This record gives sequence, structure tokens and C-alpha cells, in this order.
Amino acid sequence: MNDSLLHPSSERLEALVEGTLDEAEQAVLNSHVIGCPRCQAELEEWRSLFVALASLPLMEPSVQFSEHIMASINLSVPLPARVASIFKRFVPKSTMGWTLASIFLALPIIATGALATWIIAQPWLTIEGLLVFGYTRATAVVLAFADYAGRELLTSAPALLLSTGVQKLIAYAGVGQLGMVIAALATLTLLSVWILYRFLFRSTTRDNTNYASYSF
Amino acid sequence: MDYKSLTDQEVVSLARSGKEAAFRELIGRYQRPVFSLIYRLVRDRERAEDLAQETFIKVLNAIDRYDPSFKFSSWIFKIAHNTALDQLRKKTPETLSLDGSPHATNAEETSATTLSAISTDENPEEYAANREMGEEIEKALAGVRPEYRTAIILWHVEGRPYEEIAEIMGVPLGTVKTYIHRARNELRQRLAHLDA
Repeated sequence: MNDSLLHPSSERLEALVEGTLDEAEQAVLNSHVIGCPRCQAELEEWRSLFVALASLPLMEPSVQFSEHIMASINLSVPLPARVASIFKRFVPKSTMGWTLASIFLALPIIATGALATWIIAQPWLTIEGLLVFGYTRATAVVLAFADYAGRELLTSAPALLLSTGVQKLIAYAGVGQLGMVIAALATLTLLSVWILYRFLFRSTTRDNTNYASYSF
Repeated sequence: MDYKSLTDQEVVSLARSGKEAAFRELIGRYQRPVFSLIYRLVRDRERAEDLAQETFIKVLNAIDRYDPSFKFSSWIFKIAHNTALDQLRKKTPETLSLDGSPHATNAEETSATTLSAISTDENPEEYAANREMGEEIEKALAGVRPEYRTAIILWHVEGRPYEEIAEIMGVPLGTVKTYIHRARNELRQRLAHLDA
């Protein structure tokens, strides 16, 4: 009879030592090994190897090892952490601190609420009246600002210079050619934006383990 | 703050906020495992130390890019393994010796380059026998492929599961099992004379 059929394979004996066999398989193998000197010897070899490998020591680097690393790493605090640490300074550290902070923050809210209640409670004042007043004032302010800004913009030196330049350009190149130049510039701009997005702003592709890329 | 009681993720979080002590804690936790792995791959103390330092510098300078949902140990071992393999592709490995650098020209240099393992409570006979055994295993280990070595060290010395080793080495789970099985078989053959 073929000898290999009588004895468990080397892989199964290795698995027995590794502890990856289920209980039934372990029982079958153990019952065979007890009466088989050849398998006992092989099993002992596997056990010795496992013990020897597990006893391999960890090695010590030199005493300056960590100092060399510390001297070479960038210890600067990232911006979000710096901002967080600034805010952290204002976070109260005791119950009394929290109480005072709550009072300090609540006072303006209470005062504003009281004022609003007093105003609304006045008989000569209605909600509709307040809304109309607010709308009229806001519209007047926006229109006044737009008028001022528009006038300033149109009469500014750069605007006048731009206007003269465009007029000269139209006279020299014609509307058709100028349109083509503008279209070409727009295409180049779109292309540049896409390249910036693709290579600079989008996060780098990670490897298939999806947790840490080796190539920094 | 007692950093020793914190998990890797907690220490990394403190390192991200710029705490110097957190960086030191991470170095303290991983300097021996990382150095040992790299040393057993490149088999030269000076080179191993340079590469281990390079590994830590890469990891700690990129700590903001670390994804906390994965194990920090997997990340650092992955970088250590790849750094050492890159070096091996560039240079021919030297002969392993636990007795100092082969380039040492005097007793002081030999002593300075002799590897110090973590000491155990052994009597002189046990120490000598274990040292001899250790040298035989290191020699046998030095003879197997670097990929096998990494897998074997991570499983037997570091006690990492197959799945984590696969993540570290960037290969499928089945490949890791094959690496480890083949490495054990090779080592068993190379160490057979010790059992005789």
C-alpha cells in the first residue's frame, strides 16, 4: 500500500502544531501519532521549529535611534489643531466657569428678547408696520450702495482703460476674430482648471488596502 | 499624561495635535519590532538602523494621512517591509552575524556593532546554548526569500494574524499562507541537522 495513505501529510502535522485544525481532526491525528514513531518524529520537528521561531528575540537599535528620528520629523502643529487649541483655551474647566460663561452668553439674548417684547407690546407698533419699515429701509440702503458702487466702478481708471482697450481691439481685429480668441482663452482656462483639480486638489489614489499608501 | 495606558489610535490622535511625547511613545512602542524586522531582511546593522529611522520619519511626517480605521501597526510594518525591500532590490545583502559588523576593524567597533537582543534570565550554559540555537535559526532564516522572512517574522515573532500580514505585505491571504508554509518547510530542512 502507498505509504502516504498510511500517514497524515506534512501539512496536516504542521496545522496540528499551528492549532488550525478542528477538534475532530486533532483527535484523529493525535490517535495516529501516538502509535507512529515516524509521525511523532515529524511532529516533534514541527514543534521545535515553532518554539525556535517564537523565541527569536527583538533587537535593540542604538541609543541615539529615537533622537535621530525626533530631529528629522516635522513637529509643527497642523492648522485645524492650532485653531482647535485656541478655542480650547476659552472652554471653561470648572462648573463655576461654565455657570459664568452661560450667564455671560445668556445676558445679551435675554436683553434682546426683552427689548423685542417691549417693542412688540407697544400699541402704536404692528408687525406689518415693522416689516414695511424694515423693507423700505433695506431697499433704500441697497439701492444707494449699488448706485454709489456702479458709479465708482465705471469712472475708475482701470475700467476706463479696459473700455478703451476693448474698443481699440474690436476696431483692429474685428468682432469675429476677437470672439475666436475669447473662445480659445475660455477653453484653455477650462483645461487648466481641470488639470489643477485632477493633479493638485483631488486626493491621491490609495492602494487596494485602502488605508495607507506606501508612496508618500 | 500616562501614554503607556493609551491605545495606538489614542496616541496617534495626540501626535496629530502636535504632542511631542506622543511621537516619542510611538517610537518607543515600535522601534524594536520595526528594527528587528528590517534587520532580519537586510542583515546589516547600520543599514537596518538607517532604514528603520527612514520608516519612522515617513510614518510620523505623514501621521495626518493615517486612516484611524486601520491598525497603526499594520501601517508601520507595511512601510518598514516596503522600505527594506526597496533597499534589497538596490543592494546585495551581506552575511548575517550576531557578532558585530564584518566591517569592524577593532574590538570597539565589533562591540559597538554587536546586536543586543532583549535579555532574558538565563544561566551561562543556557545562554550559550540558546545563543548557538539563535544563531542557527537566524542563519537559516537568512537563507529564505525576503518575502517569506517578513511573513514568518510577523506570524511567529509578532504574532500577527494571516489577514493582517496580507494587508501589510499587500498580497492575497492565500499567498501569505503559501509564503509561511514554504518558509517553514525550508527552515525545517535547514535546521534538520540540529535535531539529529
